[in-house]
Amino acid sequence: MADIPQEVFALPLFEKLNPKQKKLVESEASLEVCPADTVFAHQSEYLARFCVILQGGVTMYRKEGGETKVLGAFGQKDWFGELGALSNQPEPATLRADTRTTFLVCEQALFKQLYKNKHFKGLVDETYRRLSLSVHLRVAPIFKSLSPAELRAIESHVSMVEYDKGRVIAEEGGEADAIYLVRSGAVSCTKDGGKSILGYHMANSSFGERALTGQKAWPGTYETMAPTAVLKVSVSVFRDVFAQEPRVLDVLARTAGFIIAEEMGETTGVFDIAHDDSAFSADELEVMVGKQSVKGGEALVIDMHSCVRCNACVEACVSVHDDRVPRLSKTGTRVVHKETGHTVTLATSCYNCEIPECMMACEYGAIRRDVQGLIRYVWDNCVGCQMCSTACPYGVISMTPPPRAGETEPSFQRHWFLQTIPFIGKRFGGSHRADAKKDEGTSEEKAVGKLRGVESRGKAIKCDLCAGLPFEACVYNCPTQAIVRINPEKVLTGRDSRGLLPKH
Amino acid sequence: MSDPGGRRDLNRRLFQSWHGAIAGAIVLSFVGWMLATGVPAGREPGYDRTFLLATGWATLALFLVVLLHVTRKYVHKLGISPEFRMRVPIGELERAETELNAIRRQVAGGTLTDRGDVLRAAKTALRRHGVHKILRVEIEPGDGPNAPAWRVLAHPTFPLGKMFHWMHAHLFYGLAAGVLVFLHGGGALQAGLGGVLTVLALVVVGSGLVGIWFWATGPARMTADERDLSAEKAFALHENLERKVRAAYDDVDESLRAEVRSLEDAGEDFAARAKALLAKSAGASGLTDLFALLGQRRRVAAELRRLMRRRSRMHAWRVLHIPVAIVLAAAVVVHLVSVLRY
Repeated sequence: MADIPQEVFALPLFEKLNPKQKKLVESEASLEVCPADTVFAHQSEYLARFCVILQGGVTMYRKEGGETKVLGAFGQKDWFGELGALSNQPEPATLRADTRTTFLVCEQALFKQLYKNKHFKGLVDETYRRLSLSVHLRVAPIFKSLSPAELRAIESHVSMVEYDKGRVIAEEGGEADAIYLVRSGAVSCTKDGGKSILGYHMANSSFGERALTGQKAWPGTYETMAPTAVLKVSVSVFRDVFAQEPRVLDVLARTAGFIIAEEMGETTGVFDIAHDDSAFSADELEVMVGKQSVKGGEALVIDMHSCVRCNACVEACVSVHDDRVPRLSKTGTRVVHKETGHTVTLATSCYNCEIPECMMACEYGAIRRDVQGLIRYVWDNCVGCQMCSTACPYGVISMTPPPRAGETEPSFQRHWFLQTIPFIGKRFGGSHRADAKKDEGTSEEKAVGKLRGVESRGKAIKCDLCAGLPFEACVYNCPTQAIVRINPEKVLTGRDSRGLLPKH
Repeated sequence: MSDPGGRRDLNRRLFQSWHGAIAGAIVLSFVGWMLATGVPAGREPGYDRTFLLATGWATLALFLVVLLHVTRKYVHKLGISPEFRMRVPIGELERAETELNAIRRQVAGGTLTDRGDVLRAAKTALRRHGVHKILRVEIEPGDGPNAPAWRVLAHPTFPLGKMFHWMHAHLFYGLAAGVLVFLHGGGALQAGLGGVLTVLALVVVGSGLVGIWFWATGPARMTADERDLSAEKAFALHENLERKVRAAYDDVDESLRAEVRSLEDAGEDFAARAKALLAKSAGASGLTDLFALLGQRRRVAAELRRLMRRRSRMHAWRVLHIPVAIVLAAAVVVHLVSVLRY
C-alpha cells in the first residue's frame, strides 16, 4: 500500500477527522494513478469505493437511449463514489480520467467508518447535493422524461431526509403528497397492518409517483428497514415550478401512470398471509411469508420424495470450495402439502434477497451485491463480527474459523481417493469438522481483520451459487433431480413448472 | 393423505428419461434379431458369430457408459474435473453481465431488434470477457405487451451434463447390459471366465435392481419417518446439546463430575442411576440441569442413530454392488484381452 501524503489531511474533507480515523486512512486508503482516458468505472457497474481526486480531473458520461451525454466533471479535491459506497448501488455514470489523475481510494469499509464523522459526512452530503444530485435524479424512472434544465429547476426543492430503522415514512391511507427516492438504506411497503407485503424499495428506487396521477392515498405503510436516507420532492413543488409548463406536468403524470401500471403487473410477488387458499398449512405460510420469503429471489428446494439422502449435494458443495466447508445445510423449513402429504424442504441456502439485511447490517463493507444481483462476501473485509448472521432472517450465514497466522484464506485440503469410498471413506482421514477444529489455531494466531485493531473472530460464509463455475454444484450433482432452485412462492402456490410438487 | 411408500409416492423421476427408451430399443433390436433369424443366445450349437460379437461389443459399450458416469462422479468429488479449470474471475463475470445489461437496454430501447443480432452481441460480450465457457445465452421472445421484444438470458453451461442424466444412463444402460450379457453368454453358468462373468453381471445387475427399488420407494418412507425430526436437524440439535452439556459441567461441583461422566455411557439404567446420584447429592448446584440435558442428548442421539440406520439401509445394496462391479470390470478386461489375443 502506498504511503498517504500528509497533505491529504489538510484537505477540507479530512482535516477534522479524529486521530483514530486519520490512522485508518493512513493504513487502509490507497493511492491510484490513472493515465489519461482511463475508464475506471462503467455505468451500471458496482464500484463501492469512494475516491478523492488529488491531481487531475474526471468526466462523467451517461448512456441514455443510445446517446452518450456528459453529465459533469470533477476536478482536484473533488470526490465521487459515495452513493455506491453508502448503499451498494451501481454507478449511475461512466467515469473517465481526462488527464493523468491521482486518486485517494477509500474502500467501502473505510468510507463507512469515516462517514461517522460529522464534518466529513456534512461535506460529503453537501457536495452530493451540488454535484451528484442531478445525476441521481436522472436515474429515477419518474424523472427520466425530464430534460436537464427541467431537472435543475426542481433540484433546489429536493430535501434530504434521514430516518432510523423502523421509522414510518408514510401511513397506509394517508395523503400521498410527495415522491421519495431512496438514497441509502431500504424501505418496506406493507398493508393491512403488516399482513401483506407490497414491495421493497432500495437505493435508486422511488415511491409516491401515484401522487402525480391524482391517486391521493398511500397504498400501504412505508417503513424503514435500516437507517435510511431519502430524497423527498413534494408534489406541490412540481405544480409551482412547472405552473407555466403544463406539458411537463402531463409528461410526469403519464410517466407515473406507466410506472404504477408496471408495478401492478408485477404483483406476482405479493401474497396475503390471511388469505389461505393454498393447501399448505397456515403455520408454514407464516414461517415463509412472515420471514419475508417473498423478498427472496430463488430458494434452494429439496423434494423430499425424490431425495435419496445420498449427500451428493453437500459433497459437491464441499468439493467446489477451497476451505472444504459446505455452504449448504439440509436443515430448513419443511413444507408439507396437506392433501397429498408431499414434502419439500427449503434448504438453508442464500436467497440473494432483494433487500439483503445482512448487507445493510455489515459495518465493514464485507458484503456487496454484484451485477448479477448475487450477494457476495469480500473475504478480506470480514472481521467475523456476526452482525450479518444475526440480521439474516433465514439463518443461512454461518461462521468458519479464521485463517491461521500468515494465511489470508483457509488452505485447500484435497480429499484423496480412499476418503471418497462409501461407508469406510471416513476411516482414511479426519472429517471436515475435525479439519475445521484443527484450523482454529490459538488466540495468538488469529488473523487480524482488514481494518486494523479489529480482531477477526472467524469469517462469515454462505452459499455463493458456485460463483465463477459453470454450474451450481448441488443442483448439478443431484442424481435424482431432487434439489432445484425455484421461487419459493411457486412452492406455496403450486405454480411450479418443473413439476416439483403435484398438481392440486 | 397419501400412502407413503405406496405407488403414488414412488420416486417417478428416477425412471423418467429418454435413456430408458434408447436402452429399451437396444435390447429390443437384439431380441428382434434373435427371433427373426432364430440364432441361439451365447455359444449354443448353431450360434451366429456376428450376433455373438455384436452383443459382446454392445455390452462393452454400455458398460463403458456406466463407467463414465462413475468416473464423472468421482472426478467431481475429488475436485479434479476439467470443469473446475473453467472457473472465471468474478470480476469478469460481472463485467460480462454489465454488457448483457447494456444489450438488454438496447433491446428495450428498440435499437437492437433482430434476434440474430441480439444473440451475436450477447455471445460476443461473453467471449470478450472469457466467460463463454461457463455461460450460454438464450434469447426468448418477450412476454406481455409492454415487454421488450427479446429476453436475453444467461444460463450455466453444465459442461459435462447434469448428474441425473448420467444417473439415468447408468441405470438404464446397466439394465440393458445385463440383458445383453445373457444374450452374449447364453446364461450358462459354466466353469471358466464366461461363467464368472455371468455370475458377476447377475450380482451387479441384481443388486442394482434392489438399489432401484430402495431409491424409488425409500425417500417417501424416510420422509414419513422423519416427520418429527429429520436426521440433519437431529444432528444439529445433538451438536447444540453437546455444547450445552459441556457448559453445564462447569456449573457442577468438581467432585461430582467424574461420577456423572461415568453415567454417560450407562445403558438402560441411566435414569435409575441418575436418580440415585441426584438423591445422594441433594442440593448440588447445576446437577439437575446437567442430567436434564444429558437425558435430552441421549434421546436425540437415539433418534439420530435410528434415522441414520434407516438411511444406511437405503444404501446397503451398494456394499455388494460397488465391489462386485469393480471385480466385474476387471474380469471384462481379462475377457476382452483373451478374446482379442487368442
